[in-house]
Order: sequence, then C-alpha cells, then structure tokens
Amino acid sequence: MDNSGQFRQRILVTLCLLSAGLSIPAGAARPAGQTDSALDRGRYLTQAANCKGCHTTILGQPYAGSVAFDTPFGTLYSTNITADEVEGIGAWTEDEFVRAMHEGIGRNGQHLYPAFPYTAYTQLSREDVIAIRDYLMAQPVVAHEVPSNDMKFPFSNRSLLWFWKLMNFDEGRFAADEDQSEQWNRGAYLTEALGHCGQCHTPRTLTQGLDDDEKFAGAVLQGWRAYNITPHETGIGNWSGEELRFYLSTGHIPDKIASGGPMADVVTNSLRHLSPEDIDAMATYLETIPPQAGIVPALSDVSFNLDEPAEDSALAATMASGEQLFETACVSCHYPDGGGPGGAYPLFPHHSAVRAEDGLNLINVMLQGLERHGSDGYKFMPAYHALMNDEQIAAVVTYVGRRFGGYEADFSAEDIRKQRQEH
Amino acid sequence: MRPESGTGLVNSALPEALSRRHFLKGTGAMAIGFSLLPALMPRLVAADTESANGVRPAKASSSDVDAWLLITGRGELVIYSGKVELGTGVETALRQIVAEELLMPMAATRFIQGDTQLTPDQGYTAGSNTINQGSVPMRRAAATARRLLFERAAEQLQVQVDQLTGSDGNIHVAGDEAQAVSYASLIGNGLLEASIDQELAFLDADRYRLVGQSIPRVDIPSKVFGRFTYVHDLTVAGMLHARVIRPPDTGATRVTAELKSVDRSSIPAGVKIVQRGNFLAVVAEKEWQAISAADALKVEWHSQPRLPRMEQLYTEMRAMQSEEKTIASSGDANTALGEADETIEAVYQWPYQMHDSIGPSCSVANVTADSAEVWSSTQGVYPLRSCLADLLSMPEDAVRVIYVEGSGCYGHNGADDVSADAALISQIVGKPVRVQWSRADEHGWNPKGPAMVMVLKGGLSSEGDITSWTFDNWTPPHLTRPIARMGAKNLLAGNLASDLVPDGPAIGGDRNAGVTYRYPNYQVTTHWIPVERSPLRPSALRALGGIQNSFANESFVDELAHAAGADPVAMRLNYLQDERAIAVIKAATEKAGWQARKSPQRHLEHTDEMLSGRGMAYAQYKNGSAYVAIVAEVGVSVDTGIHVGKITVAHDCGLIINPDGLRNQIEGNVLQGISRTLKEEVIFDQIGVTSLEWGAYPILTFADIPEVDIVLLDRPELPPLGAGEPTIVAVPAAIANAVFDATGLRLRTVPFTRQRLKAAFSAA
Amino acid sequence: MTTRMTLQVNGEAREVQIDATTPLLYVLRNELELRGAKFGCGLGECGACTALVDGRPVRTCVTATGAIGERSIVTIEGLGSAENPHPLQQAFIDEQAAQCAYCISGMIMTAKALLERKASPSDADIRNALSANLCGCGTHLRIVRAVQRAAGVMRGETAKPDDAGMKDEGVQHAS
Repeated sequence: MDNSGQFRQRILVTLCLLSAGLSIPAGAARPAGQTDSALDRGRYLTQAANCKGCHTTILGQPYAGSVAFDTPFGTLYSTNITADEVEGIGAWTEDEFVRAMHEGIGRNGQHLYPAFPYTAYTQLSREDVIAIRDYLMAQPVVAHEVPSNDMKFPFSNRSLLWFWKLMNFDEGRFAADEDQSEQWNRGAYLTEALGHCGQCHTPRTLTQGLDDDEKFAGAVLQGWRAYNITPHETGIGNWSGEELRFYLSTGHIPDKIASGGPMADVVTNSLRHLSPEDIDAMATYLETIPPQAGIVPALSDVSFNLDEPAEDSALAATMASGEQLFETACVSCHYPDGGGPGGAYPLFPHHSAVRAEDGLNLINVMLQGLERHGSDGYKFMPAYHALMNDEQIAAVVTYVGRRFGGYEADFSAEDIRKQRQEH
Repeated sequence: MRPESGTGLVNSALPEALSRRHFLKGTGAMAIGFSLLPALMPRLVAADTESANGVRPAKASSSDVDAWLLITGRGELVIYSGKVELGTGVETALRQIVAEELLMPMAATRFIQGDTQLTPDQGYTAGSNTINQGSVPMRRAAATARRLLFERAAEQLQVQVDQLTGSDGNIHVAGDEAQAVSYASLIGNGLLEASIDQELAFLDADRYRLVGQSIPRVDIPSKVFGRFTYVHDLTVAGMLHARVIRPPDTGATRVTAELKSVDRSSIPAGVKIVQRGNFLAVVAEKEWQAISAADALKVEWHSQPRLPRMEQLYTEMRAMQSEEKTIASSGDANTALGEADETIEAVYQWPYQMHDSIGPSCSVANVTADSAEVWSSTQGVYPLRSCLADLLSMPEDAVRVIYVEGSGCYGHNGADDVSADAALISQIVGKPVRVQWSRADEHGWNPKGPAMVMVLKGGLSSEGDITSWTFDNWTPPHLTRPIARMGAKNLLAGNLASDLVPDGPAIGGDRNAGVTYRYPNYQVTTHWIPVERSPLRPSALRALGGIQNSFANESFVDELAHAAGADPVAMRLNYLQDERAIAVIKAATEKAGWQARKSPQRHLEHTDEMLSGRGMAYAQYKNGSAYVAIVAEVGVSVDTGIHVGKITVAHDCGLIINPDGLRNQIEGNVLQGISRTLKEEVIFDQIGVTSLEWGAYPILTFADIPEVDIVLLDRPELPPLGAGEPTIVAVPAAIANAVFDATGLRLRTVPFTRQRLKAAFSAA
Repeated sequence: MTTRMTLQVNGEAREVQIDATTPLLYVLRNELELRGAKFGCGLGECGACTALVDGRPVRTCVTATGAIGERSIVTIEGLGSAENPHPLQQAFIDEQAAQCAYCISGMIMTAKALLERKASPSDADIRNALSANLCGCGTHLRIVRAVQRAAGVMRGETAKPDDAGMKDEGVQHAS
C-alpha cells in the first residue's frame, strides 16, 4: 500500500503546462530492478497485463474488482482478484488460476465471460501466469464482495459461452515466429498476449469476437474510440519510430498526440512501467502490422476551408459561444493557433480526437477531463462535466471540431447528454 | 470622502501601521472599555513617544486589551473589533452602527480588527453573530462616549445636557448652531478613559442617518483596483516560501499514515527540507522553487485504507456508536405515532461538503526564540493564539496573532491550519515564512462540513392534521476549530507533528433540528457521533447542521402536506403562531405569486419531458434568530437535470443596518445554497479525499444562476440579527419541494445530480 | 538557472531575473509586486489569476513567463486606479459587486476582454464569457449587472438617475 497514496498526493501539484516544448529523450526511464526477484517479475508482468485497470474501481482498493462493463448482452462486473479466501482468489489452487487464464474456465468449472481477456492471456507461458498469481497473492487482501453480473437472458446462461468459445477462442500458448527477430517476437508477446491491445483496438464481429481481418484498425468500446494503431496514414503510419516509442511509455507526443480515457489508464497502470527494451519490442511489432484504413482522416487529407456558418444561424451562435468559452476556459493551456504565449498542448489538428468527426473522444475528454501518469510525469486536464452545461460543451466541441478538426462539426446539447450517459 | 478600509491600510510594514500609537501621535484621546486599567492609557501614549525614538512599545497582555473605542483629539473614531471582516461587509456595518451611535460621520471611522495585541477577545467571527452580538459592546462603548462628550460640552457651553444635540462629531445647543463645540476640541490633548456604562439607552431609531442606509462597502474600492492586501499578499522582510508535503490519507479525521522515507537528493540545492514527525515541508527563497521542490520531492508513506466505502457511508453512520440527546420534545410522540391514522417515514442524507474558498489558505509567520507573530485569516485570533502557543511550546503572551482578510471562508477552512504550518516552519528555520496552500491542499485538507443522516416520522389524523412528529439525526460535531487551552490537536500541523487527533464539543448538528411549528406531539433526537469516528475531519461550514436539518424538516412538512392533500403553505401556517414567521411566509408567497396547490402538479412520465414546479421552505435560523421564507421555481427533466429559474426570499432580521449589504448576503446564501444542493459532494476512497480540484468538486457557475427576488422586512424597533447564514438553510428544501411539485419525484439525498434524478425516476 | 528578461507590463518595460519556466503569476506578484492577480488553483480552472496578454485573457498560473516574450501584459493595476478608475472598476463599485472579492480582479480582466470583442453583450454573453471564472461567495448576479453597466458607460451611455446600483426597493417596514 505504499505507492497508491503517493500517487494521490502528487496529483495536481504539477503544473500541466510546464512540459511545453519538451524534446523527446533518447529513452524512457527504466524502472529499477524489475528482474531482481520473482515477485518483481510478477509485478512487472501484472503491470504489463494491466490487471489493475479492469479490477480496480475509481474509489476502490487495488485488484478488489467491481468495475462495471456494459456489453450488448448486459452488465458484467470484474472480479476480486486479491487473495481473500471468500471474495477473491485466495482459495484458488495454482492450476485453477492457470486454467482461468489459459482456458477461460472459472474455479467451479464455469465458462468465463470474455470481457476477461483470456483469448489473449491464453498465449501467456505457464510460468508467467504463475508469476502473476504469486504477485497478486502477495498484495493486500480486500474482503470486498463484487455485485452479481446483470446479463440479459439468454446470455445469463454461461453454457452458451461454449458456443462462443468454439467460434472465437483458440486456446494455446504463444508460438514464436522463427522468421522474425527475437525482439519482434517479444513485441508480439507483449502486444498480443500480455498487453491484449486488440481487446480495444480491433473491431468485433457480430458475435463479439475479435475480427482479425481488421486487426488494430480501431473500434469503439465503453463509449470511447480506440484509434487505428496500424501503420497506415490514418493510423500511426506517419509517426516516427522515436515518436511511437515515446508515446507508448508516456502516453503523448509533444505538440501532436495526447492520450486520454482508457488509453491514459493503460499508460498509467501499465505501459509507463515497461522497460525501454520492451517498449522498443512492442513498437517493432506494431510497425509490422498490416496497414488498415481507419475512420479518422489523415491530417494531410483534411482541408481547413470550411464555409463560415450563415450569420444569425443557430450554428453561428454556437460558434460564437464556443469561441468565447474557448478563449477563457481553454486557451491558457491550449494555444492551437500559435497566437499566444506557450500552452502545453498546442497544435490541435494533430490530435485524432479533434479530427474524428464523431467527436466521441473530444466530448469525453471535455466531460471527464484527463489524468495520466506517463514515464515522464503527470498530466492533467480538468473535467468539465459540471463546470460547463451541455450547451456549453456542445459549443466548445463544435468550435474545436470546425476550426481545428476541419470538419462540419455541429454538436447539440443532446449529443453531449447522450455521451454523458455512457459513463 | 470614503473612509479607508482598516485592512486597506495594511501593507508590508503591517505590524507598525496597525499599532495604537499610530493614532495617538501628537494628540489626546478618549478610550472606552469595560474596565480599563488605569495604567493602560499612559502606557499607550508612552509607547507612542518611544516609538518615535525607535524603541519598541511594551506588549499589552490580553487582559489589558479591552478598549473598544478611541476618539482622538483629531476627531477620529477608532473601533477595536474582535469581530473581523470575512468579506461579508460587517466592517462597513459595524462602522455604521458605531458612527451612528456617536453622531459621527462614516469618514471619521477607522477599524482595527482581530489582533491579540490590540483588540478585545470576541471569540470567533462566526454563526451570524457579529451584528446581533458582536456589535453590542461597541455600541455601548459609543453610547458611553457620547454621554461623556455631551456632559463635557454641557459644562463648556454652560447648558444642560438635554439642551444639546449633535451631528458629524459636533455638539451644539438645540436651535442655536452657533453655540457649538467639536469632539476634537473637547478632547484636545488630554487623556480620557471611561468604562462602558451598560445602562445607557441607545439612540432612538427615528434619529438614524447611517443605520438603515445602503452605505457602500469600505473595502470594495481597493479590492477592485487590485490594491487590497489579503493575507496572500503580505510580505515580511527576509520571508521564505514553504510548502507542506502531506500524507496520502487526505482529509481524514485520523491521519495515520507514516512517513517512511524522504529522498533528500530528489530536490535541487538551495531548498531546505523541514521535518517533525509526519510533518514535512520544503522551504525556499522563491515561491516557484518551493512549489517545484514540493512536487519533485520523493517521499514514501505507509498508509492503510481505513475509511468506509462511500456507498456505505450513511449506513455506517447510523450504525456507529453515538451519544443520543433529546433536543426537544412535547407530549408523547411515539404513542401518538402509533395511534395516527396515517404515518409516513423518510430518510434524508447529506454528504460531506467543503469550503468553496477561491483562494487556498495562506499565512505568514515570524517566530523567534521568544516571540511569534502570525498573520492569519483565522476567524478567531485568540483561540488560534492559544493553540499556536501549545504547538510552538511558547507562553500565550509571547504569541501575537493578527487577522488579515483572506479569501471568503464560509467557516472553518484551512486558515487556522496554514497559520500553524507557517508558524511551525518559521520556528524550525528561524526566519519569517509564508505558506500558501495548493488547491489540492485546500480541497483535500480543509475541514469538511459534516455528512448527516436525518430520519423523520410523522403521523396524520384522518382530517389531515399532524398529530405526531419525530426527528432523529446522526451527526459528528460541527466544530473542531482551534479552541483556547485545548492544545494543538485541532491544528493539522499538531496532528502530523505530534500524532494528535482532532476533537470538539457536540455543537452544530442539532442546529434547526427542532422546528418552530406547534405540533401536539414531537420528539427531536440527535445522535452525536464522536469526532474521531467521522471519516473526514468535520467542522464548521456555513450554518453548521442548520442546512442539513432544515432540508429534512422542510422537505418532510411537504411530504406530510402531500399525504394530507394540503397546500404546503397552508399546512405550515396551520402550525405557526409567531407573527414574524407568518409574515415572512406571506411576504415570500405573495411576491412569488404563489397559487395554492396540492403537490405534485403532475408526474413525470418521460425522461425528456421538461416540467416546471414551485416549492417553498421556511425557517427561523437557530429557531431563535432571523426568519426566512423561500419560494423556488425550477425546471426539471431527467435528461438535463434540475435548473433553478427563480428564487424569491422574504427575510426578517430585525433592524436592517445596511439594506444593500444584507441583500448581497442573501444573494450569496441563495447561490451557494443552490450550489450545495445541486452540485457539491466530497468524494473519497478508503484512504482519503479524492476531490482535489474544481473539476472533481464542482460549484455553481454563471451558467447556473437564477433570478433572485428579495423582500426585506425591516423592524427598526427590534434588535438587528445576523444574516450571513439564515437564508441558506431554507434553500435545499425549497428546491426539493419544487422538484416534487414538478415531477412527483422526491429527492432525499443531496446533491440532486442528474444521476440521482434518474435513479429516482427509475425507482418511481 | 535564471535568465534576465524584459516584460511589457501595464505599458512599462520591466526587467526581471527569473527561471523562465516560472508561471507569470509568481513573477507579477513576487518580482513586480503586482498582487492584484490571485493564486486560486494553479490549474487554469478558476480564473482568479487572469491578466490580459495582447488583450486576451490568460490564466497566469499556467503560463510560463518565458513564453510571453514581447507581448503586452495588462493587470488589474494597469486597468485603472482610485484616481482614474476604468469603467469596469467603477461599475463594480457602483453595483457593490463583491463579497470577499478574491475572484474579482479575474472577473474584471475577463470582462475587459469580452467588452473589447463585444461592446453590447447580452446577459447571456456575459454569463458565458465568465462561466469559467469561479466565485464561491455567490456574487454572480451583481457581477453580471456590473459588466452590463460598464458596457453601457463604455458605449458612451450615461446612467439614468434611477439606475443607481444600489436600490433600497423591496424593503418593507414590517412594524
């Protein structure tokens, strides 16, 4: 319990802007001594697998579960994976734990819902799974009872998962590709198995399996858009290798990209802890994924010559309101046109969230703010969910979308309201 | 000419500018107190003379400080006030009251406030007690001085006292203005002192020229020109800047985290680390250096999750070991409940809330081996002095606490704690130190207005009469301020440095628990939860428990009116006999154009419907102070939440000193009341508070403001009552009742967020 | 690691020796002794620290001084004084638009930028422009009135005699 508190009291002390103009260092900081002992290895793997992300609620104790996942089939709650003998995994044998991770089968033999990404974890080596288990068993025990899942009929019947698994699940350990380098294979293992990146970034089929024909092409999950991370120009194709590596360990590229939402959580809980060698390996692997076209246009394809809205139109009023709010609430940290002093996060058009015409992540960031610990420090943006009303957020997002995203943005209070309900 | 603000005089050379000799130089004076020591006046004057030669004046001990007024031979009126200006306008109002009583112009007044070396001990500036109680000794002193001056004038002009009249610091024979003498000439170079005469009558209301007028606030000009000196703006020669690094159990009553290690190599050279127990700070010459170092310092704490999960809070509070106390009772409420034709029960819940001070707390301290000076925006310089003396292991007389206005505090915010931080660090480093809390410090660590649970049961007869009323609430004490001779336990620095646990008397949770309705049977009980069991450190926030209890009581009256099929206004009037209570309710409802109704008007059927409704609430603050009635008009839709469109207030606080100042306070109460009802809730996890900035603890913005219509009921013949808090207690229930009127949804847990509204709709 | 730089503040060139990453707020307050801009949150959320940079409202608590360069800085002290008040300052006095007033210099500076852009704002415009400036005391209604009054004065309209800021209407003598 020594570290979570430290995180909290650090929050907000750091000024968001003072990282302005950061140059990218040659390599991200290396977490100290992660291979010194079995427990450290377990921690490293647990972080790389980001178990905490799904098994810890916002106000909850680490690994105590209860995070709600809204799926088309109902609501699932993540389980308590602390060593509590009743509520957690304290009474589980080693084999039972391995079976859950590799086969998606619970302690009592029931099929597990695939929100738990055993479709990825099945590729983990047995010794890595055991190292993760040993680490979890050494964490503070929390006797927290998780709510029962609330699945719609017939999905409440777990035996149906047998069919789902038949269609969508290939049980089996990671097999190295002999034609690729050791580094590439390490990257594949980190990306596919431990990091389970596809769970968010790969679109799903009708049966909610991952659509491997569109691997990493981007998808919407839990109200957020996970972007295209293939080396296509609408994905990460225009990023330099250095930028990709910096992004993975920090969650941003100065003046260009800043992660928010679930990706910021992944950086905070997982990626920032990875060694430079592992970050390098992940990047090496990602660079070889078959390119896919995503829905966010490449910056070079965006034209910024929109017609001005007609005077006296509702849109003109929205734009005026958005500009006014932008001037007071946003500009001190964001000078996207370079027309003012500094600003930590300029050059809006580079941000996928600004160019994406669904406005999804932009609205989410306005509502929920942004909080991220990268290997280079803490980043923060306030949540405006209660500091601005729906009309005001719609105005800001419309203004940003039209002016810096280059598309015909015209969001309404209703759009914002709907987006609020996602969370 | 507008008189200068007292604190407006303050600058970097603050202590000297404020001393009494400043006013005495080269002239005589008349001082009025309760029991002036014969030695005091000559000593003050001697000090004045000596200071010209660079000799520091002898310090007055607290027992010496009881002068309330000084009228100088130059015709200045100096008011020594133990009550302080918190941004509410009391400085202007007190000057009006005293100048009025002394027949002097406002421009002649000077105001010295909150200084343990200069002003009397008037406890805390709190509880809406400044105008009704705090002004009384000042007014008596003024009446005493007026009497003495008139007697002198009569002697000099060779007439009887009752032939004299006065204005603007002059006394003349009635009907002959040529026969006149000024206060200044009556005092001349002589030294006069007198004890307050408790028997003297005050000026008749029909002679008021200042009281009852909207005199502009004396402090506003320097504030809008950016020249006003807040405590944040003070500098002392050689001052260093410090920041405190705090443990993870943010805002918890019991801070149990232990400091494991500090990596001293993690901060740049030139920054000093100060540590005592779990109290850890960095000190630097430049403020930004201190901020950066506090951020960079690598610290490891050991902490345990000890707080309840938020969703369990109210359940746990009701299960906590608590001390039961009957607040009021009549008849046999429980038997009557059992015999009632219809009984209803409702549970109301109120979260922890914080002080919305826009400026995080700040203080400057200069502690040497044998003396300490602390500049603080505390609400009580004397109690703070006592606790600081304990923290610093110094005698009380060696510590001087000087009030300097801070950002609006609304109660016990971080002002006292930051003063302790500054004092302790200054003592350790041996130099003057300024500590400015961060936003996260203030949000996280300022004491919180307590969470409370209120359970009400009511019985109705078949005719719809209320036959029984029971009220039970669960509350921690609302006061863990620094208390004289209680040591350092109520200072955060004391908690951290010496492992002390805050404590405080059972105060505040029963405020407005009882009602002034005359029910035949009632039983009002408070279950006091000990301070140390309150998950978050509880203390005074505007109106203390008055807002929570009135929310419950005034919502429940409406619930009974609904059950009885009665108009909520008529229901209330049935049980009130106090004319002033009836008058405010009638004034508010008439002004708002209230139409008698049986709420709800309709039931909400779709989440996108926008419905409007009206609700009212009434309260007599503390069941013995000012009277307030409110009509709220709201627009409600499950999809877009609650918007308060208009609030109509009728307010009776007896004699009105300054109508515009009063209106300003009422408006502030209304807007803060809406903010607390619709938006504010401190979020915490099992370790500590996580609402550490405005995004996580939102308050009302300009987008949310309603129209506010105010009726002031002036009663010039009655004593003035405080107005800093009464209105806010009636705001939450008025909104809740309006939401019910509009939709049929009864909201019983604050804040009324969209999620709560949606949950109520889903449950209906 | 400090550098010497010249800032254009309230029409004067002011030389300072500072760490360039220091937010402008601390330079204004501690180096230049212009303490009208207040520390409120350090996160750009509340607006208490607002000053104008090239006429635009800037949250000085999150603006690195090194990024300012030659731009013109105007603080509340540069707007006007007791002897020569800016119409906004006079309007805030006339409307008694303050309680503790800690937020007020930020309100005035933000309102100044609004009135530069829009000489005849509606109440809704004013509320929108100020909605990212927080006030804890609940002085919002008066602030909107004060900005509206100042706008009128700046447009050259003279206040009508019955347009006095403080009205004693609504006082009923109840006894």
